[in-house]
Amino acid sequence: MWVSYSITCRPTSYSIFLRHASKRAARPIFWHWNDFAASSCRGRLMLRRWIVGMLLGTALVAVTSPWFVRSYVPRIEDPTRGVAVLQPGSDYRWRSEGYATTQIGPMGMPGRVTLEHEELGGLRLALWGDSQAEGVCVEDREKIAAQVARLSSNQIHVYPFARSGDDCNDWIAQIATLRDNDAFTVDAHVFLIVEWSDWTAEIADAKEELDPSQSKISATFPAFLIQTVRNILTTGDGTTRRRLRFRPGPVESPTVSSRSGTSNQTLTSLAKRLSGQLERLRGQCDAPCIFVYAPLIPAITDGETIFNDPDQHVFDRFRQLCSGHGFYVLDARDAMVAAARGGDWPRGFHNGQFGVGHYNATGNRIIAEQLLAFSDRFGASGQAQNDDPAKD
Amino acid sequence: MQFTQIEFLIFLGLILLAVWRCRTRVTRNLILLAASYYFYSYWDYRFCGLLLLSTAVDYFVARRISHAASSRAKQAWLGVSLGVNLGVLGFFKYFNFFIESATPLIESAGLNASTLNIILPVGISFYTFQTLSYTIDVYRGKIRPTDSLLDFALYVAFFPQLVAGPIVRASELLPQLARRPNWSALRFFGGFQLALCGLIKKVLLADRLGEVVDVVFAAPQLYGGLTVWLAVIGYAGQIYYDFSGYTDIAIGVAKMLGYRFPKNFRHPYLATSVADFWHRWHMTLSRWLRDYLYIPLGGSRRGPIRTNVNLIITMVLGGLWHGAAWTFVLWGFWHGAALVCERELHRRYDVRKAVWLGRLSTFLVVVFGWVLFRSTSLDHVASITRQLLFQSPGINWYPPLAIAAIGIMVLEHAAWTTRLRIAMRLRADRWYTPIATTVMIWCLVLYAPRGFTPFVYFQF
Repeated sequence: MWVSYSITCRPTSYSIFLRHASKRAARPIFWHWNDFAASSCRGRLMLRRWIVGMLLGTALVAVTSPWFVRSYVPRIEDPTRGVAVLQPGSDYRWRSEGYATTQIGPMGMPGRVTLEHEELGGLRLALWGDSQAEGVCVEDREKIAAQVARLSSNQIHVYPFARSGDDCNDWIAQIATLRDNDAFTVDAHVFLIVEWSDWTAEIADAKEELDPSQSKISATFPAFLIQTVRNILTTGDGTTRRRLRFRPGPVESPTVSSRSGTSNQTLTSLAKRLSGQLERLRGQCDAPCIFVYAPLIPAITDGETIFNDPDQHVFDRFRQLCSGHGFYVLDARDAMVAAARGGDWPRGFHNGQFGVGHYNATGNRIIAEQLLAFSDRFGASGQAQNDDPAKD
Repeated sequence: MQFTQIEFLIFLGLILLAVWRCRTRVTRNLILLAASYYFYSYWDYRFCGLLLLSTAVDYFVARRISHAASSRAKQAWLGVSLGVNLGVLGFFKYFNFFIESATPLIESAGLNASTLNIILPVGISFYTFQTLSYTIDVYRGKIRPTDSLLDFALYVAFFPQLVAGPIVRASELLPQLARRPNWSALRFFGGFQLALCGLIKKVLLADRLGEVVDVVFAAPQLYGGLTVWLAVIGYAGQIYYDFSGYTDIAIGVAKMLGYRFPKNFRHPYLATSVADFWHRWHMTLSRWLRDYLYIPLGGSRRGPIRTNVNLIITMVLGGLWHGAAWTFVLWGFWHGAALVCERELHRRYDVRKAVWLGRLSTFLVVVFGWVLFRSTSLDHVASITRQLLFQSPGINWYPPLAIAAIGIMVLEHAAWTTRLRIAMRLRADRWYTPIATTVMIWCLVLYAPRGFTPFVYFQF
């Protein structure tokens, strides 16, 4: 394509029209000759404006991001527990579900800033679990440990050792480490059971390697930068690496299996694994063990409210096994269902979804009340007054 | 491929690079055509055949119409185009709907009624309407058929508007494809800015609202009346931001490539009447229905009763265009009836001065229309309406992000009525534009929901 130039004379200035020699006449593109003189100056001004604007915009996002973006706290190796924990003394913000900032205490305990185990009397309980027991979605005063302390007038001290993503292999290993170290003793261990998968995992050593580079990144870069990179590189839950697809479709979507309880065959294999893990726990742990069963019931799934536990058979079997080992089992389901029926859902947040997700303040209170009710029967000697330990 | 996918950003970047380096118009159009077919095949390559069929039929039919000696021959060729296009659309979109609706009748005649497992090809409603408009315009003598099959194929398949509009007329796009696009840095920036705003609308507003709307609409009986109201207004926001976001991205991308698309939205919730709403909402569909359905039916030229009937027929068919379900038919009828009532009201009373009253009443009519549009069945409509009207107790859920998104929608519409709208255009030479652009990009990567949500209008 060629371009023809026509220069027309004006009284004070020149103007240049570029006319495209295509089939149809294109609209002339016009430049004033003064523009040429001013263009480099304007270009510099524009560039400066954009650099300053981008810096200001980024600063604005950086300043406001703590209101909306979770924090990234470095992890350190805790010698007492033998695992990597969030750095004591740090604040851990959680924003996507609930809206809370958790203070990380000694040994990486979320929401408990002192040990206090030497000075105070009363019952000392170690709380084990996953993110549901960790409770970073709620403020410290609403976490299970704080609610138990408040309800018991500081007569029961709960030491929250729960970590997101942990299962029984991690808990049993940590209990053994605590016992071996003899640095920290408790009167009983409390396990919050929310999902059976945490207790039906294959017996394995808790292999955990602290990634120093991740901790360094958490300590060095602002959270909004880390979150941005994570959003770009990962998908879904934030741990699955994003895979780009450029090949034409159709793409078969993975079949979604609906959860409909446990079959007999599965129950047998689950019971076997449960039995193995409980035996292992008994072998590693001298202190009494209390299980609080608080599954994801009541729930709202696909527009339906589910009040019945599809894993009732697993729970019955679990109770039998616990009875054999001398473990105590508390069932929080009725209290959870009653709360939901009363309009106070134990799970979910306004910025999440009710009937789904993690326990909120109500859920934690119900769990705390279960522990409190049990502690009334749990004498100073650390033995329950009930003949059958598996019956709450 | 969806505009919100990272894959699309890479695809667009490569296309921009390729077309910038093109020296000839033909090469450029070839690249764009290949890219458009790849874009479509990313979803399902098997349906590219339908696109080819529609392109080939209308290209040749239009030429035949142009060369036909008699009006009967022209009509016959137009009939071929209508038959093929509407036949394909009818089969893929409405076959099961009609079979299901007629099942009682068929079974009462002792026959067996069974439906087929038909996949609805993405964008079929949009490109069918585009190709039809081309043939009808040629038939009416409004435009001359194009000589270039390449240009016509690109007009049908041009990827920014292929799957969800705007419905661009041949008279708007074909002349642009026939010449080298008028490209400038300023235009490119304008397109980028528009596409960015569209992404913000879709990802940060529509998808956030969708998270709440989907949950509440799935079980309205579980939630308190206020929460259901929030979800219903939220859906008004979701569908507006979703579709206008898509359109903004489409127009923006086209602008970055050097082409101009017609506007599709003009702050629809500022409408002072239902008729005004249809001049602001999905404007390219409204004018299609007006020019190719309402006016051929007689428009307003055959007396008030016939006009009202025409309005209702047009809106019901417009509703059916959106989806093969009775709720869409009911939605179309609702809007048709509202237009008729409004027409009668305006004939008797002068309500032009009550602007805000008009806006509020129009909004309520439109919002109830969205209940019909979003519901899956008539029972579902009844369930939601009960919660809206009688405020039964239930879970009181007030998601802050959804409330914020609704607040932004209200503010955006309100600001558009003031001088602030000049600032909202984010002109390249304004001091605040770099800051606003940077903040928008950060917000996109930082606050986008992690799940992937397709555009609402992809299902149509």
